[in-house]
Amino acid sequence: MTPSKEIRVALAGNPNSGKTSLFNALVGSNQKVGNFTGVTVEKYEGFRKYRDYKIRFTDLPGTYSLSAYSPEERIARNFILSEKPDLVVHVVDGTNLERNLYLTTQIMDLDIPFVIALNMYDEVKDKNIDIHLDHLERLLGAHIVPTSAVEKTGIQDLLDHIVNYREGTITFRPHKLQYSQALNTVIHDIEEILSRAKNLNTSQPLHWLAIKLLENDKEVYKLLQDHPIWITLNQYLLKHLDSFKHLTGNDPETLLTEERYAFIRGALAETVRLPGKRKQDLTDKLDAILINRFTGLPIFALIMYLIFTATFRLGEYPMIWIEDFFTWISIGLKNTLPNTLFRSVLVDGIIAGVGGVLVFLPNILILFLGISLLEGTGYMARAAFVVDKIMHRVGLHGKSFIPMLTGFGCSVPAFMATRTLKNDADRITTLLIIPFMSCGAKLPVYTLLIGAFFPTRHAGKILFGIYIFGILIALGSAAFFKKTLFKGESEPFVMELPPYRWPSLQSLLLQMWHKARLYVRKAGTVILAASILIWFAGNFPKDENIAQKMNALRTQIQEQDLPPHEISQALEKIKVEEEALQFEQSYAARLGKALEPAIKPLGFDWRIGVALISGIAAKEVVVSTMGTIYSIGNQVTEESASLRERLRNDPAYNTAVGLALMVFVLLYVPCIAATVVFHREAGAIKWTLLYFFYTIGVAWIMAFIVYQLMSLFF
Amino acid sequence: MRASETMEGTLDQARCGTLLEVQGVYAEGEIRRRLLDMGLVKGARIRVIRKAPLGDPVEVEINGFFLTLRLEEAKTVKVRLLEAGPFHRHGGPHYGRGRGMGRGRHRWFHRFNPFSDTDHS
Repeated sequence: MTPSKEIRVALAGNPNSGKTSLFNALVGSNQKVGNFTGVTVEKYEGFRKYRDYKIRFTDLPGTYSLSAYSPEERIARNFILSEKPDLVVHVVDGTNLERNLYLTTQIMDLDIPFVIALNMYDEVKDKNIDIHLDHLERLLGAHIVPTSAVEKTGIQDLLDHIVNYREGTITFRPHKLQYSQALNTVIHDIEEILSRAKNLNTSQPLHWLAIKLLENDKEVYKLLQDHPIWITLNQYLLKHLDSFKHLTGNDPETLLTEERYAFIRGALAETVRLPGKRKQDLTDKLDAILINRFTGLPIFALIMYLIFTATFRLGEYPMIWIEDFFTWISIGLKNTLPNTLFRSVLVDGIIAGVGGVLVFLPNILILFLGISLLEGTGYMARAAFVVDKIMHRVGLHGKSFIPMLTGFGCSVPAFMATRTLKNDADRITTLLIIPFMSCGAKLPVYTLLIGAFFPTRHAGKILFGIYIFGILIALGSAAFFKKTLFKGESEPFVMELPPYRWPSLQSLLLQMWHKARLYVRKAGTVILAASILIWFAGNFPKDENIAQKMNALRTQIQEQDLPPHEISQALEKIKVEEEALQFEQSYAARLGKALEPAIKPLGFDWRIGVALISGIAAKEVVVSTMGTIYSIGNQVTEESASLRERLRNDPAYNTAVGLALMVFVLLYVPCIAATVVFHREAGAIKWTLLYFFYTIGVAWIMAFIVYQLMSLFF
Repeated sequence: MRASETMEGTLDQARCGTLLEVQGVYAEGEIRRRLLDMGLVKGARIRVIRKAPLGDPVEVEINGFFLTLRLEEAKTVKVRLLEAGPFHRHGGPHYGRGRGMGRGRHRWFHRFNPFSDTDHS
């Protein structure tokens, strides 16, 4: 197939216009998800072969407008202007023309060919909305193809239009959107000034630039201010804008919007007949219960609880299968391969590392099924509506709630869930505070320490207190970031509550598939490398003297005349001790010892330092590392002592240290898998560095305060 | 205050169930752009549907869809009262929504006085 037989099509439309469903109906599974350059907004691309052509579709982010305020809008318009697709398919929700056609007027300003897919046409018919398509086509200057992504009707017709346009068998007439005399004069004057500008390096139509300039568009301002023509332009604006305001009683920005809506109202009055009286539909009835003043919050809490439980309870079973599977492989390999370095790196490094990452996959899949359901049905916007007041107190958006809640289970899916936040300041702030929501893997650490240092009757209270403490730190941090880093960057809460709809199974499955793929790909690369590194630090260098000494002990035991089970017990103890001794002089341990001065003020010694470092691999590893280290010196004689008892009896530790350690584990940087996901979601190394140092900094300060205060009493 | 003055106010003060006409948006920057884009232009009609369970944000119906905005943002939208209270039979699509329990404490007493800040004057 020659490249000339390719047609590049961009899909543009409002959020909730069924654009993504239409995209799925057009390309099926021939799609992949990536990112738009430099931003974390997902870019869906796919192709469809049709009548000798390969049609490439790009699903632009859903927008209501094409202003420069949100990343979505900037992406959509920059894509259209600089990538110059052959054709724009503008997806319009046929049941809500008045708002959807506003974007149409913005696309008209761009002077590009576009075809309207009048989507949800099945609902239009059901609701007895009568649209005079021919006449509307004439007014909008675009061909209109009725489609229904749900019933898969009109797809062929749309594809035919795309190919026909390419083959030149259909053409476009100019649209009928005319601004008032006052506006037209100013727009025309600015166009004229711009046309005189030499080497104005832009692919953007002058007409559009003029309009955007009048709308105070940040990006267009920036573009023009850097050009010599700005002097002339600015003179013109200074001179004419005041008289314009005086003449029309309005500024151009408001007037442009008003006239667009006036055009839409006029067009609809001529072409659309609504049924006399709208009946209460499903959305009205559901909202009367779901976001009602009294039942709204309890229902919200129930739905959150269900998603949370499903994610972590239901996810537990497949997690166990995955763990068992990897254990099975490890044991299999240990039994078949000789005890070499290769086996060690394969089993303890690679398989343990990748297994430890894949184990989160069930959580991610279930959570994203839940989130896709919430978004697809339309409840997500309602959830934000219901809790926004609480979240707004600390400067966050209502939608931050779900990622934060998910953080109690695991930071990995929680970080990924921040994608529902459209505003960068809100998203980054939420990302930065999620580590303080105590994740499930920290629980074993708390259990161990509470068991060691606190009486059983207080255990519940202490545990609850730790969780609450994390929440308070998270909220405090959010307020702090919002007041410093992102001052005044809050997203205005101006949000549509879309009609309730049942999302298609295809969309749900595709979304889950995309998330799983993204995550697994990471597991195969960065996380794998990090796991091997951590394995290396814990296993190297090997001290030959220790090995020799232990081997000597082994021979000694085997030479003694003991019953077989005692020999194997003794050998087991030697093995544990050897591991401990080797570990004590490994790079990880050396690092721990080097860190001791830094953590001394918190009451921690180097052994805790090592445990904390290995906790970066995964939080529950803190416990197993402590298990390894504390076998040192306690061997042979004290065989019944559990780790908990050892900690309790160790003179170096007391309640103050225990509590400080819990606080530190609660707050310091999450595991490597989470950190990698954070980096991908945040998108810039500066955020990852901030995240790293902020979490560790807060952990240190809080642990310090707790330790010093507690030391006064214990 | 005289009756004619009670007919104008800002959106954040409007009571659930009232039908209003937008007079203008007095915000700046992004919020202004957003509100304009969503159709809050002069002459647009909005019906106040409900407030969130905690009293903020507020849900309105405009151009045949439901829009939510914080009181903070609603404060910048100047409106004129077209129809008061939940009793008016407008024939609009969401007549029923303004009714029922919990539509504000003073519903019965102030249904012709739709801006609550005038309650005290």
